[in-house]
Amino acid sequence: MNRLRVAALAAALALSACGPKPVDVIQPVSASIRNASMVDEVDVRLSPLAADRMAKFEQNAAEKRTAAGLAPVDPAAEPADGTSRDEWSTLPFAQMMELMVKDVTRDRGLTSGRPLRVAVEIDTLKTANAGMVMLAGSSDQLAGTVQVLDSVSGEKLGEYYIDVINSHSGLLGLAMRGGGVREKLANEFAGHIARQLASKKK
Amino acid sequence: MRRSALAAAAAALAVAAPAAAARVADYALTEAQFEALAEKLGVDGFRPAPAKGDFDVVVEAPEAVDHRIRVLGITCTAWNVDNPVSQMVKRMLGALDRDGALTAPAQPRPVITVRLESASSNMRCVQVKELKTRCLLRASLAGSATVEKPGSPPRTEPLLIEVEQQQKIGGFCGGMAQGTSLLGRTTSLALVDRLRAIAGAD
Repeated sequence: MNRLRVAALAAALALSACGPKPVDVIQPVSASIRNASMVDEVDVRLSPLAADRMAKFEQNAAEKRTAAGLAPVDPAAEPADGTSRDEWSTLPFAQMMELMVKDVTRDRGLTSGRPLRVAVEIDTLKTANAGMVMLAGSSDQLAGTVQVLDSVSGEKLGEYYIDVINSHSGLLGLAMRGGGVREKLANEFAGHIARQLASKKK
Repeated sequence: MRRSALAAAAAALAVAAPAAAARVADYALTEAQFEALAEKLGVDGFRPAPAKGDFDVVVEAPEAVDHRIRVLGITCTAWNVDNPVSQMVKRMLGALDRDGALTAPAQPRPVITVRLESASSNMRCVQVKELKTRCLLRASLAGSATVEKPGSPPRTEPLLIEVEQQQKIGGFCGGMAQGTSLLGRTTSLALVDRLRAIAGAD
């Protein structure tokens, strides 16, 4: 029995050591940009891979908006910067993501310096399958490419691939997961963007 | 007991081993095999190899563009794919070349000299449903082409070829190397299109 435990532990260690990182740096931003920039523009678009899954999330957000008695929003419109955080879960994904990235980077202290445009191309937004969570585990996931560009010149200053995966298994995992999954994933995704633009000192 | 421990260790090794393993894109496939591959990977619009041009083509040091494909995100990162794309570039440019020899003409005749300086490709895979994976592959090829025609001064044009292709890579990421081959063929055909445009622009 002990041997089996040791083998299982070794296997778990081997697998965890091989686990990929959530951020794959394709082009790092230069040191001169770190902590010396502000995100003033965020473009969010969906890659062809995301199209199928996103419709369900957009419908859920629209239903929440109706239930909250809020007026429908135009998905193509720019979100107002002062939109209350409580309202974010009722916004179309692109608008929610734009507000989230601006908010999280501001919280990280990126409020002055070179103005940046962050172009996000989402490949997948997926929530855990409740049945699979109980049986074998499943995960929530938000993944996509992020390009950091100079707002004025359009020059590409950095590029990343961010893949946020939150795995859950069993009844406890399902209970701990809670609600607002789309916003939690977006918050974590935006946190990775902010970390790439700020040094660890901030 | 020992059997269980061995089984656990074997399972761990089986999963960990691919992390170090590399597959190689196969450019030795026939045109018919490539067409069948496109169908298998769900890629529409298969194009036949190019017809002969009325000019000679010379390609300088094409091996410089051979590279390893970058797998972004978490899905399918256990494997690497080496991409000797110069093999397909030579094959497609050979089909375009007036005599198929890819050498400078002895007589004064129109000739295009292609210098390829860099290439890269990446693959982003996501689970669109449980146990169903789709990948978005991107490739770029950069360099320059010089057109020489009897009686005219040489003209050099930059080359930047960018191709994106969605593919059904299949369970356990098994079709990654095949998908890379198809992407390399599509990229090479896009290069041929660009060279035809450059040759005809006067």
